[in-house]
Amino acid sequence: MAARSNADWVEALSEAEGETLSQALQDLRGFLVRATLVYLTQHRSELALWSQADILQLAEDCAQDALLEIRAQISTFRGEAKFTTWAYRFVINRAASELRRQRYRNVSLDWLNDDVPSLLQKMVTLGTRAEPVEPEHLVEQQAYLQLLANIISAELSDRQRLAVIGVLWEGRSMEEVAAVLGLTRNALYKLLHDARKRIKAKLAEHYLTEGDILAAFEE
Amino acid sequence: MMDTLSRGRFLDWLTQIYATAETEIACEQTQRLLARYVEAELAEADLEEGLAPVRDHLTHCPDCHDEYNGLRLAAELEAGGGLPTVDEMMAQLESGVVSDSLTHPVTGT
Repeated sequence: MAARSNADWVEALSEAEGETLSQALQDLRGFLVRATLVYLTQHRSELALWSQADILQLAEDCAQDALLEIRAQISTFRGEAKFTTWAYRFVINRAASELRRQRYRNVSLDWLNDDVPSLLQKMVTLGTRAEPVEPEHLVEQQAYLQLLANIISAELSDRQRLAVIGVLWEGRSMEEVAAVLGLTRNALYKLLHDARKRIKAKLAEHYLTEGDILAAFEE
Repeated sequence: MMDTLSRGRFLDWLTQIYATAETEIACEQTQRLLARYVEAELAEADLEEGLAPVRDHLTHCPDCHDEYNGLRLAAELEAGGGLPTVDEMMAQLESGVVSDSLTHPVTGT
């Protein structure tokens, strides 16, 4: 198969029908399946219980869905990157979304009820050394934790607080938390950005730099 | 495996708070720029002004960062001689070990 230029791809995929279109679709589908498998190799541990047939089916389903999306969006391709790189973004997005759905399908939503001070305390306690922290260090840590808890409890909206806990503390995917909050991933990012700006501004009001706080928690 | 609460996550979160910019691009715009960003990185070119916000977004968005990792590896493999075949990748997935040749394609010499 001869390598196609960006213009070749766009021209072929813009055809309404015919052999040129069929061949381009077939070739692109092959590339998309392989790009999906490249992505999935980075998530091998999550696929440990999947059969090879199921993994290949996932890749083929994602490629088919992405083909439709790519053809629908072909007019937005500006030639600023290789056509295949531009196209792989669609199929990797599909595969990533599917993995996230599988990952969180049966996970409880108990974290929605977690309270801020105890979560902060758990975060800084887990994984610390067995040696006791010096008393003055401990006092400083507790003061910062209390301040952060107050900011998050009093200055953020309920939705901002849930977003911070879900994505930034619990490590859940943007898509999962967005679904819980009834938002798009894009809207959730904006919600979190506003929350981060708010917290940063309140810390600045207390003249606290990043170094001040990090130094208190260094081991 | 999902990350759990940890001290490392707390410290990362603090770093993210202080790294927050007044204006940031959201996921949709990042996705539109991602292919250009990945190719600029692989070319080791200085990022154009319009692409710098992508890097900032990726530090704050785990979903976009995950997709960026996949796209970067695919683009890197393609630039280094082509994506592995389906059979080669199924063998990698079956073995449970991603070989160096897949994660770090040979370039140059």
